[in-house]
Amino acid sequence: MDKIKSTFKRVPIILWFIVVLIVLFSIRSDQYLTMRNLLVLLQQGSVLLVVASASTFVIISGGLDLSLGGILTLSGVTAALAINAGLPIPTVLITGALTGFVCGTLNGFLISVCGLQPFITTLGTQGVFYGLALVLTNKQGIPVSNEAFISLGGLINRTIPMAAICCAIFYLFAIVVQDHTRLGRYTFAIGGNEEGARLSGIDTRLWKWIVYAFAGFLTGLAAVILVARLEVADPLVGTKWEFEAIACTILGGTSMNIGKGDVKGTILGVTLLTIIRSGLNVIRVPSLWQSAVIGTVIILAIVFQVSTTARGEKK
Amino acid sequence: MSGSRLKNRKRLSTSAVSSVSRLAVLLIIIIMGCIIDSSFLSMRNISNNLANASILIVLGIGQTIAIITNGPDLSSGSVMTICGVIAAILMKSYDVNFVLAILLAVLVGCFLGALNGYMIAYVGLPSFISTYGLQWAVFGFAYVILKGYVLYDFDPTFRFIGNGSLFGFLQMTTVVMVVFVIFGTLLLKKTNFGRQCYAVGSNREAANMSGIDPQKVIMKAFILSGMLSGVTGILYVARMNTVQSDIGSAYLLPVLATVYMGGTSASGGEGGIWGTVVGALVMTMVTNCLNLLAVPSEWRDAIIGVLIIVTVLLDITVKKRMAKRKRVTV
Amino acid sequence: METNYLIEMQHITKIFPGVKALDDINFTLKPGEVHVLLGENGAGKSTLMKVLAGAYTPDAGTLLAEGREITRFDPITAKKNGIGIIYQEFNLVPYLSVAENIYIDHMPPKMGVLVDRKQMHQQADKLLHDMKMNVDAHALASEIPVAQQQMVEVAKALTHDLKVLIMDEPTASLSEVEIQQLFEIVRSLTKQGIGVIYISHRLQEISQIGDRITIMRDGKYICTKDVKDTSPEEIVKLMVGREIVDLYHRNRQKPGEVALKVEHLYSEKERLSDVGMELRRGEIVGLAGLVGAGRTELARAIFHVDPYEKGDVTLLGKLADKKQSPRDMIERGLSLIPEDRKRQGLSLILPIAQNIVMASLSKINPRGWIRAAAEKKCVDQYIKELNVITPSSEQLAGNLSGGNQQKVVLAKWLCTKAEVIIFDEPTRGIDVGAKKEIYAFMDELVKTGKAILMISSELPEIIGMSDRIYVMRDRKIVKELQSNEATQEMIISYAMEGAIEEERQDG
Repeated sequence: MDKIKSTFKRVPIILWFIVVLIVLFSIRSDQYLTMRNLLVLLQQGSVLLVVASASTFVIISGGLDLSLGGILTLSGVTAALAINAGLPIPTVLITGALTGFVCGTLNGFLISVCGLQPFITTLGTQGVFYGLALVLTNKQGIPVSNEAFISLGGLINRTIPMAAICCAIFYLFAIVVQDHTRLGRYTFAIGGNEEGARLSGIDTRLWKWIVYAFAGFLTGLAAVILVARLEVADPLVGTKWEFEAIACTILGGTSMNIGKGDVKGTILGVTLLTIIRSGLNVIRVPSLWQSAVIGTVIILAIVFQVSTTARGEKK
Repeated sequence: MSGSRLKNRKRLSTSAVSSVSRLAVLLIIIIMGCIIDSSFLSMRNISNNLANASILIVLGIGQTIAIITNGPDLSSGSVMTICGVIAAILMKSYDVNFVLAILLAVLVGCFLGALNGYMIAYVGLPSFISTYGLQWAVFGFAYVILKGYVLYDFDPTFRFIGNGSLFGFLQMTTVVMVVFVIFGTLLLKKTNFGRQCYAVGSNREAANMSGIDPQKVIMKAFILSGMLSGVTGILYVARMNTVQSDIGSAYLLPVLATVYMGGTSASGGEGGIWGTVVGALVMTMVTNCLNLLAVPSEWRDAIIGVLIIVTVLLDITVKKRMAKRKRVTV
Repeated sequence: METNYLIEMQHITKIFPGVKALDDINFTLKPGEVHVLLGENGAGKSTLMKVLAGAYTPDAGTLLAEGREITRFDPITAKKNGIGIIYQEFNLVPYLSVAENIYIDHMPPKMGVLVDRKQMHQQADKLLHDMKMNVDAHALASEIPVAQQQMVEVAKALTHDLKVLIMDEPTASLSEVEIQQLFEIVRSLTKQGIGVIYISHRLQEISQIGDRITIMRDGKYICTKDVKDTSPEEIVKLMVGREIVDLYHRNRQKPGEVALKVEHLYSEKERLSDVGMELRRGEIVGLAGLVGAGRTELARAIFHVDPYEKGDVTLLGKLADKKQSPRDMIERGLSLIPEDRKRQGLSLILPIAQNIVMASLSKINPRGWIRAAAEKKCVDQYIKELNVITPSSEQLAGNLSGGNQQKVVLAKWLCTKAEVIIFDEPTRGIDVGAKKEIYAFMDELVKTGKAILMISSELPEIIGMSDRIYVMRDRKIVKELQSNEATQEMIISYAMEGAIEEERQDG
């Protein structure tokens, strides 16, 4: 119980925001706090939650992955190709995850072994991954029609949000990895005191590499669910995802460059973002404006978050 | 001490080698182009390539200044877009005189650059996060302003900036580019501000201890980057005679590749405008060759992505090797 | 007899760019002994231990562990050989728990891939309890006080199968109670036959815990003695033992008016408390003290790089505002030549010329446009005056040797036409020839009426160059000495919590 309390104590402001927004939106619209709307929100936010978790790992380790959107796209495309080739669903999941893993491994290699800066590397590989996705799809979305597969991302009987359930499993997996494996623990060591960790006998280069590979792997899993939910593998679907993932990570209380953070906090960032997005419909912001408004809100939120935590840490 | 002199001479020559090698790459690509198509070196193709490179170069100048001082301005594509959009809509829908429209649009560019500068210098966000974030908001606003439409067919006097030509072969875009290249070079090499950019980028703490205010310098550098992105947007609209809400998104990767290829170091404090010019020429001619070879456009992102990584990888390997050699000689 | 040694280091040499950090060092460690390693700041103790722990690879010499030669130098190999080290800088991971930090490289497994956190925390609790420490193993490393962090470092080393434990100034941040706890741990280790190498500045600890003592100076081996055969006075003499050669030449003169005055300066962040000092034109004032005494922090506060809350800084008769920036101080004629040349003094990837004019851009080019001729004149003048050895002023600063780099930093500040110059460790890591030149130049400067405050850890330098000396300890100025009456022993004893007097009383 104490542990839960302390987790929540670390991110009080954002929770506050979430509550206020929910109250505001439900006053504006009696449709907002209905079961149906909640299910829709769950379905929308869940894939982002997994991608944001991947991003959280990377950021805790002191890095950055701008290619997550590209990985999400490419893994989705390979998964779609796999399902359309008639492969069984577990194999499709593995295909997506493996694609992500390979992409992440490439990032990790360039960053950890070659010593390139994370943002350039992943910006470059972002181009490569999108490019490959475009080539594989011939610039057109690949529709998927396998019923069993689509049900992975759909609302079964209009009540069971399958995408949310799958993503919840992946998310729990990410939490377990962070809290109970050496990978998770070493992520903090690399981000918090890389030289110290090295002197303590940890192969920091190897583990940094694995962090990126793992982030790719998680994103690959998320991609499969995303394709199942959208019923199409679009070669540009990942646009902006990496940024929203980073934003959710930062909003969730993870700090850059000091090895501090928590995948558990990231869910708050994702919740906030999802609520804002849904709320824009409630308060009738024209769809034309949504991209601009969300972008502005995210930046303001990051600036707010970073400047308040910086002030707290100075004291 | 003679040993150290010897070592110095060697080091100097390696830096010379790297700029020579950059020109060599350009030459190789020109030769390849000639092999692919005999008209590659025709007056027309050269003048087209130059004009196409111009947009990349003007955008790249701002980017170069930002990278030298602090870090990349990933919002430059979006700022370019919104400035183009604003200029276009002022001229088309509000009948504003094109000079005034240009001024207002560039002012918006400066303002957005200032926002970046504020987030980086005063809030303390890493440049690649704040500018990447701003990019999405700005693209959103560009979309809002255009309401998803495409604007085209502008005032011919305005279009002359991008479309006109002097003496038949010298396109106006190229002239504008040359003006800004001179402006950028003078700024970086011949003013105190330029010196301060290099000082802050190479060692922020040493600069601060030397009485240079890093926050102010970073602020100014990003304002400049925003301004030049704005200018690029206007050039683009004048040249293409059309504007959409996502024109700049295709420029982010190429412009970074251009600047890094030009020898500007990703860790700051190193590089210059001329390298960027050469980088942009290489970039444009590679695209030209790809077109001539009929490589499908979907490959382009992948190729540019690989190009960025390979360039930075080469840069780092060369530096590592030089550092190693130095350690041996000490 | 020889094979009885746990560790034997023979003729170890380590060279860093521009400086020989270790020069032909011999060192041995017997099982069950506490071997104290002593020397001034920069004598090479920590470097030697980093070689032993695999953090550095030596350039020459052999290292034997229990008679076997070691050829691979990395932390993992060292650990396999039973060598544990507690570094001076903390190597804890801030946002991992105490237990996770203790077991960082061998977390107990569960079901193959998972970490058994429960067991890990129980083990850690037990270990901490055995060490009589009251630390919660679940607490984050960043949440516990510094003294406890230090003890966690000790615990971390103890979880390994140790044969040798190196402790680099382990008591620097501990209170008396904790020090006694630590000594008990050390004694129980030596009873098990583990050899302990102990680095410390505190002389009184040596007789309490040490068996043998090795003294190093300037990267060289001086001697090894049994602790019971030696006295604190002798140790101090051996530590500082250099003669003051004619490296330092000063034309002393009567000091002029007050150039810099600091009164009742407090800084909460830098923990400076009630610092007061005075500097006159035409004099060099030395600021002595151990690492961490607050000398650099004081200099940075005076230069307005770091803030201070209370107190007055008066420069050339004008009171400085607390809100002012280094830029304002430079304009008023103050310079600070920082301690860390590479991080704060120079832009290594920029040419010498650009480094030299960096602090005086607006002075040389008042309109903002670079006046190339004026710059060149200024640059060439100082390159010549300071005898910077370089093929051209366009050479990158990073390509110069340490001494020449320091001269470039010097040139940068002379270029500002400063009246008051603070030197922070002006000759650290540079060769004797360059040192001598810099000393001569400092003398030249004060002759023309400038004032110099010199922070230094080299006592002969302090005594040889200064007219007056302030000694700092624990963020305060504890003593002012005239240089003609000061001895190295006196300064050391004031800087080290009056160690020698205490020893005398005890003995």
